[in-house]
Amino acid sequence: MLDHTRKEASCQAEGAGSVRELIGFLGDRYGGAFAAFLLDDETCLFLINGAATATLGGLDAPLRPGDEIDVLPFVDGG
Amino acid sequence: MVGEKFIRVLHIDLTAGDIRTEEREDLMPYLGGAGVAAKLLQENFHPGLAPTSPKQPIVFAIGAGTFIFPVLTKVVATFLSPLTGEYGESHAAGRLGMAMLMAGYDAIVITGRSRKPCYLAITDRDVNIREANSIWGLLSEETGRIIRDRENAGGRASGRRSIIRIGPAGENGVAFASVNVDTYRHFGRLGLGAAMGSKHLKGMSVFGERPLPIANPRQYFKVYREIYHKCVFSAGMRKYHDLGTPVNVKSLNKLGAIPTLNLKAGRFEHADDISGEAFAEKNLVRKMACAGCPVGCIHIGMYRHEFDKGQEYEAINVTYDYELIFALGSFLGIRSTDEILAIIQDVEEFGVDAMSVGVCLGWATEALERGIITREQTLTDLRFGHAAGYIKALGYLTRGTNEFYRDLGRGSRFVAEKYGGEDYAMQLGGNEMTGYHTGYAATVGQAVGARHSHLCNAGYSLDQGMKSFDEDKVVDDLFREECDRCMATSLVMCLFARRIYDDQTMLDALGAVGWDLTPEDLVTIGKRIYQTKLQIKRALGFDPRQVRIPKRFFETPTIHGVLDEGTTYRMIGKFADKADALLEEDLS
Repeated sequence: MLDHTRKEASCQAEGAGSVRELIGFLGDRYGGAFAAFLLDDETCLFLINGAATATLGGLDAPLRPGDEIDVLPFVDGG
Repeated sequence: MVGEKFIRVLHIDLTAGDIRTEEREDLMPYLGGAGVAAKLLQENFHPGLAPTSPKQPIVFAIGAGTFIFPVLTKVVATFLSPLTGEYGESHAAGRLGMAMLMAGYDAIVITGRSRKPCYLAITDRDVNIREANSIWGLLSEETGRIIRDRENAGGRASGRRSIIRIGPAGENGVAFASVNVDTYRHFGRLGLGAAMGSKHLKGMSVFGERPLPIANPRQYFKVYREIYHKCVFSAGMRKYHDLGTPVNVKSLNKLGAIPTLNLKAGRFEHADDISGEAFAEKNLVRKMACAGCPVGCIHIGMYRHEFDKGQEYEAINVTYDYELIFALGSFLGIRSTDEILAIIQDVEEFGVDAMSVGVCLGWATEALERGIITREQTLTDLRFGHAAGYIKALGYLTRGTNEFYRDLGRGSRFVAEKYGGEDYAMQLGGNEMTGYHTGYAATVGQAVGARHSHLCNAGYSLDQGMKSFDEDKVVDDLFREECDRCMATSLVMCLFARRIYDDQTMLDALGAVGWDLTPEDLVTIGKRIYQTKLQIKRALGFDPRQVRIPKRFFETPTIHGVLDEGTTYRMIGKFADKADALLEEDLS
């Protein structure tokens, strides 16, 4: 993930009203490939203030000013 | 057999010393791996006898594409589980799949009990039952070294031979004893080590140099290159090479889904100290791959061990993965990478399943805290966060030092039924929990799964991906994934590559080595294999509706909040209905 972001581990995003809009913002900032990477259903997980978006409406989960979003690798095993 | 229309089965009867081979056309509908292993178990098992009865079989089977395509590396073992008393299935790779293929055997069926300790030496030229008196009782690593020296095929076997072996735990009948495969891989779950020990079978060496006929080389290389490219360059696979499965520690901790302190919590305050990043910074010395895998997910960590106070140190290399870090780390409150590696080292040498032993020790720690058991029984202080006590307990458990440890060696369900504390004995279907307290799908999935593993139907994956909760859809998805994975594990793929081998890729790969299958065939094969497993489970008395889930699962929040007990049992019932319907289908 850090390869896409030129090693930036965090950033401020303004005006994103949902996780989907946030991904659009990140795509503008770091490139379309990163947005595609984030949109892959089984590559990444998003947490909004520590809660998984799975319980908040998925990519359409609403965001408010001041929310902290974690982007984590999807957990797999084998 | 690659390029043939039969499955080649090696039968070894350790009681009589008989060895024979069969070429079975009728097994082709089971493809290989999990399918063939389940079918051969069904043909040879005895439902009325104990899992460790000499008559019970142990089966090893490679898949239809083992070693021929990238990441199709694994071998499936089936047996009756000494831990759960029902269907046992465990997967491992290392070099075993390659070696069985090159030796010319799709499957090996072992029955009987040798009068004296023995090991098997299998090559493409002959099969021998060797005496193992002198290595019975030895730890796993030394056993491997001695068999390696003995079975070297005049020096030609180096790097191509596979050696599997049990440690003292398997010899002593610990119900969750494991089997070490080529030092860094394992048949970990459900007690294959105890099944081998009950046959006085210390290990097995496999080596071969058979040529491999490829029916359509042009098509084969085209498909191979496409799969290889996906394995090496996709982001989903790269993480396995970079930090490996321990990358999960931070994610699961953030999600509140990493079982901690016997699942009293889903977050561990020292998670960063035992994360994949921490192991990489402090301990990682090299990465390795199973034969036939271009990913290289095996991470080897090194720690210093002091022989005794004021004495010299030795550097010890051990492999680590997420499952071991959860079970021997957060679950027991261990907060340093060095201490986790030290516990793993003993788990390796004694030959026990890391997940089961960690979860059993978690129960014992809490049972001691609550006064259900005593210090006189545990013989050492079992306290969350104190590695020294757990290391001592591992030795007591492996040796069966007293009645309590002999009971603990029968698993958390048994020991809790006898001493109490069933509400926090963290097992599902008799198999100790895995490291994903993610939600309904993970809990239901492990409770009903054929081998009570998170890998049966990947419930933990469903929990992460679902946008909203619909219990009927979750049950449908679990059931479909259970069937699909029966198909995938008949190839046999490492399940890291589950998404790389989509249906079309599987058809292309099989087509390049002579199989003419349709998408509908893949579905039917998956259902046929799962039906076989269900028939075995039913014959052994397993009824999913009778599964009882410890209360703790309904107390500690998951990604989806605290699980509702009624919803969970209702989902299990719906899954059981689907299983009943599958049992009625004609899939011949």
